[in-house]
Amino acid sequence: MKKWVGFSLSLVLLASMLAGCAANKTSEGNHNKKADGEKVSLKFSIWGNDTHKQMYDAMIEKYKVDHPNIDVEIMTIPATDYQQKLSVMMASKTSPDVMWMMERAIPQFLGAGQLADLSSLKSDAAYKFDDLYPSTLDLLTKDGSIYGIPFSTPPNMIYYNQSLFESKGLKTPKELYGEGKWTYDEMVKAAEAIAEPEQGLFGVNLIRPNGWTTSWIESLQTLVWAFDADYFSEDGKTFTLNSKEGEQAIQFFSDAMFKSRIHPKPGDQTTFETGKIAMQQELFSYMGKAKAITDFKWDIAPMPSGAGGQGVTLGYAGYVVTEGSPHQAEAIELVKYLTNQENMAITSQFFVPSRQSVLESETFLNQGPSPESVKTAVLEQIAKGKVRQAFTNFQKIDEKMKIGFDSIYTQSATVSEFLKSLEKDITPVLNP
Amino acid sequence: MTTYTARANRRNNWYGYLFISPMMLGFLCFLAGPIIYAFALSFTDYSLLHPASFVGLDNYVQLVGKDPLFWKTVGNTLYFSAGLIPLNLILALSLALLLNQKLPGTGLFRTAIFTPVVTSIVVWAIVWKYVFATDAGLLNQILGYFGMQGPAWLYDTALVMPVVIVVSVLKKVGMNMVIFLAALQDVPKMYYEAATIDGASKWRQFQSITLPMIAPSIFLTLIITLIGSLKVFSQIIVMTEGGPGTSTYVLVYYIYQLAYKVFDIGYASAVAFVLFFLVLVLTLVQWKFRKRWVHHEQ
Repeated sequence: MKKWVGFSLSLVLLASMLAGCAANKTSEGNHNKKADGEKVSLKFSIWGNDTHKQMYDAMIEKYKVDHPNIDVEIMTIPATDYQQKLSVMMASKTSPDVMWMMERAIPQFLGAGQLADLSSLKSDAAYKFDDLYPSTLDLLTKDGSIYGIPFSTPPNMIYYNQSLFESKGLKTPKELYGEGKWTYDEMVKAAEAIAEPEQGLFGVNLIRPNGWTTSWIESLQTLVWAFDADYFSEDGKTFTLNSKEGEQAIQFFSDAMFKSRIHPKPGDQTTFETGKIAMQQELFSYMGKAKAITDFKWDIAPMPSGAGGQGVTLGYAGYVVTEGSPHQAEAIELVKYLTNQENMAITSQFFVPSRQSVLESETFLNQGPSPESVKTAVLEQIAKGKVRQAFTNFQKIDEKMKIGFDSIYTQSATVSEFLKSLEKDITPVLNP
Repeated sequence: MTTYTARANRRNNWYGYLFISPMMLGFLCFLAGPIIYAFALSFTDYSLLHPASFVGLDNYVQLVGKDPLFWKTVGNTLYFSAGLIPLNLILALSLALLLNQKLPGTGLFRTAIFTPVVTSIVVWAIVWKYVFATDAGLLNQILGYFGMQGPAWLYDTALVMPVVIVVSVLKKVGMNMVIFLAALQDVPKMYYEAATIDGASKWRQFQSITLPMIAPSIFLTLIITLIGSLKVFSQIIVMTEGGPGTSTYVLVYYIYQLAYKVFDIGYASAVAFVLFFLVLVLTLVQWKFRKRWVHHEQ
């Protein structure tokens, strides 16, 4: 009797397992059928935040009116994991159809032939390809073909807390820039006048939020350029920061943190919105958050200049399509839609547009605190800005640089020791 | 007669296999398979961007002889384990002894101490990252209130590992405490009564009755905590990303770093196998010495 119970129970178990498998199969079958038919489901990956996603959702709603068979699913992947996650997805052939791509990731994917050729967009008269700034296309061009459309080329800038400057009776960065006196020396002077490190009030913060681990490339490139130094040689084979200028740049940063203490210390998470930072290095895309600030007045100004000029860095992001995606044609259509004049005007609330007609429009000038601030801090800077150097093995370089910079942050080495040991560690990685 | 039993046994075995088959299938497909595959990969040079090529023992040679970071990583992992295990077990046992008494509010305390165990480790680590943030962090603000300038907890090579250890202990101590509580409640009361009549002190009772009686539980928690500590990853990636420098590079973080950041999958598999053997050897050693100090085992 007992045995019978046992046996029938096992049968039930086995049957339910089989049923489970079978059910899976049928649902998968249905899915495939749909894709083969008219319904197309595209995946679109971004590293942005929820407000960006909402913006795209609204755009896609509109797109569906003319393209009822297209479904777009937006995937958000954090910027710090973005390149790595997409590399894995590419290898396992599960990558999204349309992707945001950052400048440092482009050589890897373009070099591996994983990006689709979008040159067909050039020939479409209605798309107005010529409206895109040619300089912004360089990174995504290979052998005369276009492999992506840039949508965001923001220069970095200083967001400053105007109320703090006024309360101390100081000239603001914007005024100083207007007088041609906006330099790193002046920035330090203003920061020293404002900072009260014991109260958690800081003069200047070059590190972007949550950016301590990626600081060398994300936040300090401008400083290094402004001191007339650079991390690497043009060909990317030599480490060049170990120079007098490089040492000055890093010493400047170290002193700001540990000596004059006008800069938050490593690991600090204070944000500009709290009003505890007088000057914050940030990108245009921070505007959305800045606009939500109500308890103090703020404005934007260009980066200060040093011996090597302002060293403005251009952020860079473009849309690319996966080579070999089963819905490549639909994906290219979507990129075309997202980068047309009308939609780039919409995305310009967060992203500095690559279309001349949009960049120079009233709409864009009104995206900032005031049209003339946007003019000085954004439009005038783009021409001076440089895009950061890109490497096919960026991840390895990044790792070594991070580990090296930590010796400055933990004060476990002097600046010249740090530069020497970093040179030793990074040179083999630059010459694989 | 014997043939009958044998047949019955065989049939019974059949039921048994049937019952464990879902678990075994899952184990074979998702655990044993990948482990064997990873072992094979550890003899190749494989990045996701290029196909694998066989390199023999090169990865292991590199790892033992030419990779100082690997040895640093092993050292860090052992440091983490050596810091975590005693702290965790002693704290768990003390809490269990305290909360084993019938006092008002013990239920509340037990729940409070156990809650972190069921909290997501990522959430836990993010919260503590903010607590230990340099200037605006909760801890340093409290210290500032008393006129003290707190250090940069997570940006100090000497402090960062102890901080991670403490955060990990607070997360996991509840589990061991519950195991100890259960063991303590299983110790028959009569032994204590007899000891009290003999005039044994509380400490003597703890030494001679409690400890031997709960030795199997101590052994269990020791092994679980040891293996868990060698696999530490989430709190590291959230709180420190291996930094500052390489001072919190632990084995699993290093494997992740090699496999998914720089795509050196072959080499990462080799490191993973070193970890596998490390866990195996430590567990075997403990198992061997178990007889010496676990006297009371059912």
